[in-house]
Amino acid sequence: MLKKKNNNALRGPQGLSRRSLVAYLFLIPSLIGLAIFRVLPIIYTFIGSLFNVDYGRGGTTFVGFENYLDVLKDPIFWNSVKTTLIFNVVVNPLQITIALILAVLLNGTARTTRFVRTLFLLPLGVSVTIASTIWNILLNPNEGLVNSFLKFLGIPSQPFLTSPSQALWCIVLIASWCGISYWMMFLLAGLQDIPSEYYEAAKIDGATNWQTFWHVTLPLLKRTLTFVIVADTIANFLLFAPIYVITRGGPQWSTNLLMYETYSNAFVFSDYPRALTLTSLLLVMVFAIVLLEIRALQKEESL
Amino acid sequence: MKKWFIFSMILVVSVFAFSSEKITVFFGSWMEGNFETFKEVNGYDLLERFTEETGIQVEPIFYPFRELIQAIETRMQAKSVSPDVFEVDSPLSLSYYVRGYTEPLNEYLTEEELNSLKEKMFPATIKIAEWNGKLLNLPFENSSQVMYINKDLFEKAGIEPPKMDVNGRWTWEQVVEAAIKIKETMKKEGKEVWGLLFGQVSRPYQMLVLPQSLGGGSGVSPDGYHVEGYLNNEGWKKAMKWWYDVNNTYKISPKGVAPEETTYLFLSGKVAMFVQGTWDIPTILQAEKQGELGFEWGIAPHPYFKDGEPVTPTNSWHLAVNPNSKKIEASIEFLKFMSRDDIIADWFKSVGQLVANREAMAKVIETDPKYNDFPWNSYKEIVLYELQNTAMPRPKTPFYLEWEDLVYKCFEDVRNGADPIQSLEHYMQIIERLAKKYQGGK
Repeated sequence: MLKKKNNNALRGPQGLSRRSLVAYLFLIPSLIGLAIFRVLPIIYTFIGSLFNVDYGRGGTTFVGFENYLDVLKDPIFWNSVKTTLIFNVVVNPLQITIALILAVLLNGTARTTRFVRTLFLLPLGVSVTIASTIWNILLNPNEGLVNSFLKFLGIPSQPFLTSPSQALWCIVLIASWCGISYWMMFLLAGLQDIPSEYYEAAKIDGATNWQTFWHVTLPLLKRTLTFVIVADTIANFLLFAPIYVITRGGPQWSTNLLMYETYSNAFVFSDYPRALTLTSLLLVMVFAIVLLEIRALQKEESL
Repeated sequence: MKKWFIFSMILVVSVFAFSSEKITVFFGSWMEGNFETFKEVNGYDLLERFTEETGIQVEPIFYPFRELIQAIETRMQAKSVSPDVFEVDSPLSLSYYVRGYTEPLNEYLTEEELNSLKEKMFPATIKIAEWNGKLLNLPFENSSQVMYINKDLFEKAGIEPPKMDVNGRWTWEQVVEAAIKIKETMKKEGKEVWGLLFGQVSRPYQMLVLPQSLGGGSGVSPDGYHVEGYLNNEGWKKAMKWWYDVNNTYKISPKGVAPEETTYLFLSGKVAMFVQGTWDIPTILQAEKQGELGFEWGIAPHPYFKDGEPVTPTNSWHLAVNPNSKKIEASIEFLKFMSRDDIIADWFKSVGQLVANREAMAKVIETDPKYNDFPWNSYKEIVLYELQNTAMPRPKTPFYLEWEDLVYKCFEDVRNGADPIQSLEHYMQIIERLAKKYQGGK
């Protein structure tokens, strides 16, 4: 009875507890920041996509969803969607699987493990732009180190970045080289959070390494893994630097990912309404895929 | 009385403070190194000299080469008042004007000043900067292309190289024939060399002369608003087919080499004929001086097609005024200063970059004995002639930025093995779609 009375004393006029009110007050600065830097640009992007700019006569005209219809009828857009999806279907599982394997292998305190771990974390110190420039030189069809090595082995030179059938896979390689160590770091942190008692119990029960991994490590790593999967998907859907530095969407549009197509429209073709339309579509696409991923992972958890 | 005295003093001090406040013109530029070279060679700072003469200060805002265009796009789109003056890649003149990025100069110059300016300049520099009788910006720098020759490779293949003579200009057909022979000869010696290399490979600046030489025109309609029937006409198709063959049939040009890497490939001795701007002369001389150039080199005029006419790439950076600037008059003063014959002559002497002002440039070339000896005699024997007679500007269109990017991609795709005719049709359709947003101003 006394407890109930105390609770009522803490409630505000709308039934909100004083503690919650204080918590919301502390959140206000972050919410304002979020509104200004995240929500408003999204609203601006969507509104901007409903207008068209006429440089000839000057001014903007409200066109409703005409830009969306134009984009959806455009084969270049669909080629970008296809390329972006192929890229992500390959690069996300690849990066996460390798990052997870490395994290498990390098999750130890032995001196050699720590040394190897440092080696694998080295790419983190190189920006994606610099890494792309270096890979561009390495994969050069004439003087590149990779082709020189292939020649040494008696294998003919490969048109890595000039062939439409190879360029996208080179971007997958570069993105993975940059990304794996980054995601591995999160997974390592997740692994180190798992209490050793679980492993001891599994050992006592006679579990094999694989069984320990499957029934102990993976379920307890699920939260970190969910974050890594979602963040990696977003990062790869918005990948820009390697395309900008190396291929500029070519050869023959084979690396023209949606993010680069959006950039081209905004800053090369001065077609801001189309760029805003593409941004809105990209946002919806990423949101839908991330939602599906979270749903799938939650479903698995409930099973 | 005392109050009045204090008030008067404050007034006098304020008036003095305001009157002594200097006007500062912000200048968006990518030529940081050029201003330093100018000072080293001429013994005075260009921008300080302007301040001494006019009392107007110029504050340069330097951008990396590739970022200047993006910076202009974002700043002018936002109607920023700064920079007051900026450098413009001249084919973008109309695109900037149509979108309200530059202030035409006519109403700030007298008829006499305008006529004198036009008379002094090389024709192609004025042609690209004019639209409906308006001078959209001030032609400042200029460019021309020549063909650098690796004489040693020619000798090994037993071929007489082309001479520094505009009347003995080689055709592209001769170039291909020699390139194939040189490549095969060197292959027998176990060495991989390339017969032909374009310095600005796939960039419309350099590639455009191929269809232009074949009568294909600039790829854009005369009114500047369409590409259908212009980018995919017979001249363009023939030129694109030739480009495909050079890279994929004869394989005399290397793939995957970016424009930034071409000079070094030529310096390495692996290229027989290198079509490039005269701006590479100092780099080659430097390599020669340092003993890093292992071959004898020469300079020949830019080739042309046997069934076509000689055409050479041209144009460079101009100076424009921001229409949103609060200091338009001061900006115009700066432009007038930069167009003066003595300033332009000093710029040409020190920076080495060709200039739009024909009179100033020709005077330096005629009076300075440096231009009597190789390689600088190429300015006298080739460059002056090309700029006056064969230089062909790029298309004048409000969608130049879009056109340039997509035509570059088209040349690059064909270089990498795409079908030349299909590529032209494909890119023509994309550009035609992008052109729509400008067509309301026809």
